[in-house]
Amino acid sequence: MKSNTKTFEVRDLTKVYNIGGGLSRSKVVAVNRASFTLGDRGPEIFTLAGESGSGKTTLARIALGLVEPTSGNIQYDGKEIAYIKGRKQRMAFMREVQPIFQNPFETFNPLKKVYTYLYETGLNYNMAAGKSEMDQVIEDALVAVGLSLEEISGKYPHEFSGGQLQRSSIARALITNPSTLIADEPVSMVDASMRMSIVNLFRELKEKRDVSVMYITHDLATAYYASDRISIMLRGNIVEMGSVEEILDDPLHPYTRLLLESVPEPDTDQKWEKEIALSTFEEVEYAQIGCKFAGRCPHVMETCRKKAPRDIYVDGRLVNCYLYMKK
Amino acid sequence: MAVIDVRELTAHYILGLYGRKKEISAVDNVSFGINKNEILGIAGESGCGKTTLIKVLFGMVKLPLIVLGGSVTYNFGNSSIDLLSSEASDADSIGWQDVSYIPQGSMSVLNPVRRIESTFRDFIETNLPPEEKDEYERLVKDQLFILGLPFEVLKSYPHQLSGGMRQRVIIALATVLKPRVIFADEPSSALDVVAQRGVIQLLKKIQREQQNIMVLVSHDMGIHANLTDRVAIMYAGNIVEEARTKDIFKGALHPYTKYLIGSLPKVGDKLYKASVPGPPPPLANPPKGCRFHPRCPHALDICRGDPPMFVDAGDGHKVACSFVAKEMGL
Repeated sequence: MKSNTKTFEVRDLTKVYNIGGGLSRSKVVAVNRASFTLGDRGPEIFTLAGESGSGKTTLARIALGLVEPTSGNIQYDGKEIAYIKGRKQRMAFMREVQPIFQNPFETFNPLKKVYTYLYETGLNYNMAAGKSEMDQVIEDALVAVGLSLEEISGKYPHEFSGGQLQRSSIARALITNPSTLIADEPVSMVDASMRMSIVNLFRELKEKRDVSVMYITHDLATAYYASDRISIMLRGNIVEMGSVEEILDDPLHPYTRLLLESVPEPDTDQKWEKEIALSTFEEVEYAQIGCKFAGRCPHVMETCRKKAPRDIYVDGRLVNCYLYMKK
Repeated sequence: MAVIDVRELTAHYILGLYGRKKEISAVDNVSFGINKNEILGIAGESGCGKTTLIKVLFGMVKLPLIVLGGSVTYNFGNSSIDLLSSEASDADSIGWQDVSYIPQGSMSVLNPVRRIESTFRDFIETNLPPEEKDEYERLVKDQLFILGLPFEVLKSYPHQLSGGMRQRVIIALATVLKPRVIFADEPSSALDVVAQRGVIQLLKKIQREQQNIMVLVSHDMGIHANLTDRVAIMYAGNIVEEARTKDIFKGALHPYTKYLIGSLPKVGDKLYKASVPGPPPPLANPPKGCRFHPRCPHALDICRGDPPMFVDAGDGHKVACSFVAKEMGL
């Protein structure tokens, strides 16, 4: 097997959306100067975590080349890919970086057999010459996700369970033998009991096929279980980034702490007693000057509402908070 | 005596497909009771009949869903109402003041072109007798104040609110008349963890405030650990285990429940965790005997024969498993 490790580098990526028109025009900075590198130290699982509406999906869509950024660069294997125009270049990029979407029931056309999808993907990327050769490619991809050609042939999407269908969707992504998967909330529509099978699969793909995964989620429990590094997003800003053990065992940013405290523990001795402050209007938080978390932060100070904090490094991890500026 | 008493309830979807009859046994021989001031959780994977069960309990039985047997009895005060009896007047006497239902995906039910305020007014005006209509404003303000929701939401349109906020508004709406029973179907599963926590703390607050019965359906065991007093585990249309939430998490008996709890990821734990092997069975053609036996590591010969009995393993901890019954000598 070829050595799959290639770096995926995001530098100062910004996306601004204009909302409304005429007199009531406003701007939302959906992603604000995001920078990170994926796979520079070999294949890894990199988690992007945050609440809904924190810009995770926008970032994923830009990384997949589906949305053009307002400014900033993305380099894949040394090549600029954020502003690809030609079809040939795009196909070459898409062969290497494949998406997995949130809801497997919406990913597949209900009137098409699942096999057709896999076959057409292979055809589009010229993965094999004849049908029997193509079936071999498909079988390989299916075996990698714990399914087989026999199990899926002749079946329509509604005949699968959510977990099986999501695994088929991962098999589809594997047909081109990509080096990177971008998975946007791949387990949130899958049953809790089936979640682990998907997350285990990512771990397996990393170890056996050298595939890097960008795992986008709001569930820190599966993120801890599966990933090597994590970055926490808050209303477009990356507020904390580093190795998953470091950050989740000892979170520094108050927002990371809030996310962590919100994971429901499957333990009756650890029920939530304390009440937390909740966001009401997303637009207000996006328009907030200074730190976007100021409205909900238990440690809020004067300066937080005036100017956005700088990125600083504490013990090798990035934190974006005034609490650690003096250290 | 239990406030809601469910006895041997069986409800199937019966479909006629191109002249062929297809029967989906979504709820099969289910019995349990819900006591006063109790939060009962119903857990299980998707497609195991949780939502169908709640619909029958709520009296929302519409074709192709047909109740084939059993009873659902509401014991409110001195009156006892048989929900599924043929006399329609009985079931009709239960209104939104008595029973409230928060359906799945309900955060998208708000009318997008009306302010939240008007939705509240519509709901209250249709459900209160005309002489109490003037109370509308006081009722809504009280409700929002008690639940800690900001008054600005009343003047907002749904699209201005975040998903979690919309869900909390829906819950406030569903409970504004202080119902005696609240059915909540996956109230937090479409939300992110922070919004989910907001919804759970809201439900807790309502239950503490109004002292009503709550039935919570969720596939997330973490939610059950946090909120419920008792949990019933559903698998392929059957209830396979029922006990106090604490007992379920500390000493689950049924192999399926053990899988459900054992496969939960935790922050701070990277040890390998396996999920339940194999796919869930098709409800149109469930396996004979115990419906879990094709996926069960402990399956015995008797498991393939007759369905297991739902027996009490002591202290109200009930389980339907021949293997466990044999091991424990029940």
